[in-house]
Amino acid sequence: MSRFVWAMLLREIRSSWKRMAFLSLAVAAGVGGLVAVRAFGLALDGQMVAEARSLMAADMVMASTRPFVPREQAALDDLQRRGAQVVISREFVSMARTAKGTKLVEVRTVDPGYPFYGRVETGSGRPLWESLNQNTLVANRSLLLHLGLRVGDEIRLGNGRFRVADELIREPDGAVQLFSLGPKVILTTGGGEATGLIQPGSMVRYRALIKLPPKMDPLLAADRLKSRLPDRYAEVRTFDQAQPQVNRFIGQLTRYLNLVGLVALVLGGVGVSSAIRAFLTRKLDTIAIIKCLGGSSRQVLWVYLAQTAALGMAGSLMGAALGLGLQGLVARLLEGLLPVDLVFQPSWRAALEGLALGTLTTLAFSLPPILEARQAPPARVFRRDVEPMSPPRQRRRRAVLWIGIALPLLAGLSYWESGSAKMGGIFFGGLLGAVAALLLAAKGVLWLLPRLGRPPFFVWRQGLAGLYRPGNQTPLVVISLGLGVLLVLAVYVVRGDLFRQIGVNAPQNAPNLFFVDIQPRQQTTFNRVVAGQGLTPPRLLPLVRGRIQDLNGKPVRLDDLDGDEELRRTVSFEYALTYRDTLENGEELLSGTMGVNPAIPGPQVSVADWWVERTHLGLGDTVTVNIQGLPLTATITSIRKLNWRSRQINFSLVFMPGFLENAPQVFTTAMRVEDTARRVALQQALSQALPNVTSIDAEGVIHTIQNIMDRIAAVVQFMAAFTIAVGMVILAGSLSTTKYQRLREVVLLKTLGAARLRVAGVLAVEYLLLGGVAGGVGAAAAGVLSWGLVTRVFQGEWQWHPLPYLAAWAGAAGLTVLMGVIGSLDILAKKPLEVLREE
Amino acid sequence: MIQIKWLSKVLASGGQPLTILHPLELSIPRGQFVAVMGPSGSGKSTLLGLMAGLDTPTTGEIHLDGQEITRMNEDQLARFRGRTLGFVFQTFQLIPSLTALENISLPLEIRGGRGASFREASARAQQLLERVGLTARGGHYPAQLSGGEQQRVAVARAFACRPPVLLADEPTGNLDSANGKNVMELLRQLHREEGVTLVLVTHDQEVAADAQRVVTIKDGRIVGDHTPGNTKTDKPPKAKTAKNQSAKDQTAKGKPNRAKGGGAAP
Repeated sequence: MSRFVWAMLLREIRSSWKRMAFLSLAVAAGVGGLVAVRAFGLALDGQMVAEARSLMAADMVMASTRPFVPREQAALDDLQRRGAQVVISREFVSMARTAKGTKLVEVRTVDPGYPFYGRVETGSGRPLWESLNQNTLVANRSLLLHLGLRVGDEIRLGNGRFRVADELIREPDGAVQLFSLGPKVILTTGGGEATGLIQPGSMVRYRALIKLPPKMDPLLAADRLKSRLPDRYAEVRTFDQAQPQVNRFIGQLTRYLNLVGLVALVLGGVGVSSAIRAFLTRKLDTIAIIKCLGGSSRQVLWVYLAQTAALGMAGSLMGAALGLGLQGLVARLLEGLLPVDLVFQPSWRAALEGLALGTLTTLAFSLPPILEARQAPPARVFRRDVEPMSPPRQRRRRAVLWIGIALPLLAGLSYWESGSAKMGGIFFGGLLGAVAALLLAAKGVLWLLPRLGRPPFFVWRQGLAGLYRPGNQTPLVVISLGLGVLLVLAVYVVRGDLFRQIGVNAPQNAPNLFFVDIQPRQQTTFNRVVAGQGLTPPRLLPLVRGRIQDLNGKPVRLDDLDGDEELRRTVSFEYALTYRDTLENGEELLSGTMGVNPAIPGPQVSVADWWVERTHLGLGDTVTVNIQGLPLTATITSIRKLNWRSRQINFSLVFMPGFLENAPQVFTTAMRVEDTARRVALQQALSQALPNVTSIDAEGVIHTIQNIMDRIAAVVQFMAAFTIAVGMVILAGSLSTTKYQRLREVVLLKTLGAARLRVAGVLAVEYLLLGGVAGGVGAAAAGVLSWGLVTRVFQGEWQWHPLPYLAAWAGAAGLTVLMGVIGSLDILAKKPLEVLREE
Repeated sequence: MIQIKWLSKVLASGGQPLTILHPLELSIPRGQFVAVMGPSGSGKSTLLGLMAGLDTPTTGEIHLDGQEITRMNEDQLARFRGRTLGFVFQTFQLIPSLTALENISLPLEIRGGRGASFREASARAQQLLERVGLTARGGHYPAQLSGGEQQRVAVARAFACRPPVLLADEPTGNLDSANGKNVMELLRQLHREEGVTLVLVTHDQEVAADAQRVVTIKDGRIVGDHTPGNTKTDKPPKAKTAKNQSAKDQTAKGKPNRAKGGGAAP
């Protein structure tokens, strides 16, 4: 860059730094949100990598949902012979009880040696194994509070009695589940045996934690271990592959947040672009003079490009600082959902990325107007009216510039921020669609307003006219403010609808108490206890656990399915199977027949509609399930549509009678008990009589889900706030762009005898209309979006509640009026003569 | 120095061709001071714009300092202007966000590497500022200067790169007579002392009287070409027309003023 460009840059900054500083706030708000989320994501990633071994408490884990079979055990023994250490951890859900009450708890049994990495934090601060033995346990404080216990008191679990030896604060590998059913309790393996809760068919997760000798490579060891396993029932993972549910969830959430942040950044870019266009329109004479004095278009381009880059960089710097300052807030909003404690330090990488993104976006969005302006003909110095190009040609050129520069950048950013072509594409398309819809709606309303008739009052007439003042960035303000309203409101409405869905909105007869792990021989006892409480015993449903082994005779290999994430997920979890030949809970038969078809040999199975969609199977295809090591191949003879809204226990795979009856099984059931006291009494009675039966109260589950959703909504709305901030900056920027124009209008009104209050009224009406249009359009779009999300994505029922929409609308209008009137105070205060003299 | 051959300009105005300049020939030798006269709308400003390469002719060629400028592209033209031409405009055309001194050094800075270094540029600008008698006003912005001062700055800027040709479009049109005389004196001085070829468009008889040669244009044609003093020309402009013309120009003065007001309020 030549000295000339530098000199011009400094001089232009000197003469318009206030405006530039202000404009850069729009960029700052856009970059701020992105940097905050990115810094948070990086801190989380860094912490996870640093603590990878602790998060697994081992180098390698072999996990299964059935007890390790002899060949699996042999493989572990072999590892131990070669110097590895192994601890078996078992996890299951059960009822803890005292004389005073019961509580659903998550139980874990471990052996000395656990944890190999990290440490178990206890309330007393003493090591776990100082207090833990056959007859003791450590428990979360919430359990002690719930049952009114203190350390030293006794708890019963199944058939065992245990003394609470310490409070459990946290285990290193504890936070692998986002969703927990109750407080955590840790026992020894011997203690676990004493409970008698681990029986065939009960839902237990087994994990072999393995510490390898220093010389052994974890990846090679994992491969070797895998090769010795009889089937793919057990999963083997090394510490650096650990992808617990929480990480994946947080990772995905961070990407969504990035995209929300991107909306703010793009809006900031568009705002800067339109401000630069307005700025350059006033600079056309200067450009013409420069060209008369021998400056080339290239020099002109560089002068204004340098200014824009300076503006973008200044804004991005502010934004990066803001983002780093706010990164802790993101973590705070997600508190309780994070697997590690985050230590925040300024993340230079996040800051640099924000700086690059902000500058690049500003430049890309400003390039079209700059490239246009550099064409200003030098002949302007003679004749004002020379236009660089005919309007249609200019429009065409403008379109080419936008499509050629800004849109590819936006598409690239979407791809980069979302991490996938599909997500990025959806976001890109959605954003363009939303902007187009908002723009169309805004233009429609602006077209309609003056056609509704002349407002009878002077103040309203003038205010309305103000919306159409040239240079007012009315459409842009409507879009940015509208998008902000759209995001905030849609999140709020969707959250509310989903809450109602899982809570209030459930069918009247939906069960609220679920029982699992009822052993076959306990059926009569169960029914007797329920009847003893004056309730009708519900029907007990047989449940057999199994995994998908083959589809159409082809073995399922998870490693080969990376391309089809839906299929991968569908075949990777353990299924609850049952057997019957009737439709239940409002199921609907889509095709085939429910009932044994004598024409088809061998086992027959009815599958859910969602399941065939994801596995790409149909009637007549076969599926092989592995039930505790034994394969069972069945032909699909019918497809059912499940009714999730019934809240009953649904089975995706239902075998026809005659094939599963002898498999190891337990029974499960659900029932509705209106009165909370009776619900508690039933749970207590059952846990006395059948200590191994677990009862789950839906209210507690709903509470947990609500908590998670609240936190997600809070963090999304936090990001949406940046979009609104950008909208406010653009609004204020357009205020200052049209300041002199309005100044003249105000002075004229005053000279013609309008009192100051009346003039303020005119301005207030203008901003009320502006905010009203933006808020109205945004609220309408939020309604459409939330309807789509609730009914299509979440398959729920969308409800119309006018209050949030009205509140958002009023909020947008109020905020706009406030900004507008504050921004105009200095104009109102001017004496007419001052301005007229300046003329 | 300047050779114009078969130059014409036709505009498509509302679908109908409007001839601004009929094909004309004109030759101006190096170092001559030529005044181009004519009523407004006669095409004299268009002729000046074409000479400066600010506009493209419909037919014809213009050779300036031995180069045919009609064949150059935008950027070649810009560089050529920076090297060869200086401009003085009726409405001054100073850049409002730059001080007087910066406005003067601007052409030198644009020329960049091929010209003086930045310090030299600023020294040269200071020297020129002194020459137009505004030493104390260097740090002022155009809006803080009077019309006469602004035009003196513009003259200094026009001559910053020592161009061989100065083009002036109604340089006194927006000034009172005292300031007008002052600016004319500066231009005459540059012509006399630096040997600049000076082409000056004006409708003012008095201004034209200083020129070595007066070319008169009417309705896009050259209707007179003579040396002043030799008052009995083939076609002397009628006194009455001239008077009407100047009255018209007086009323038109509001226009540039408003433009200036807009420019001073960024």
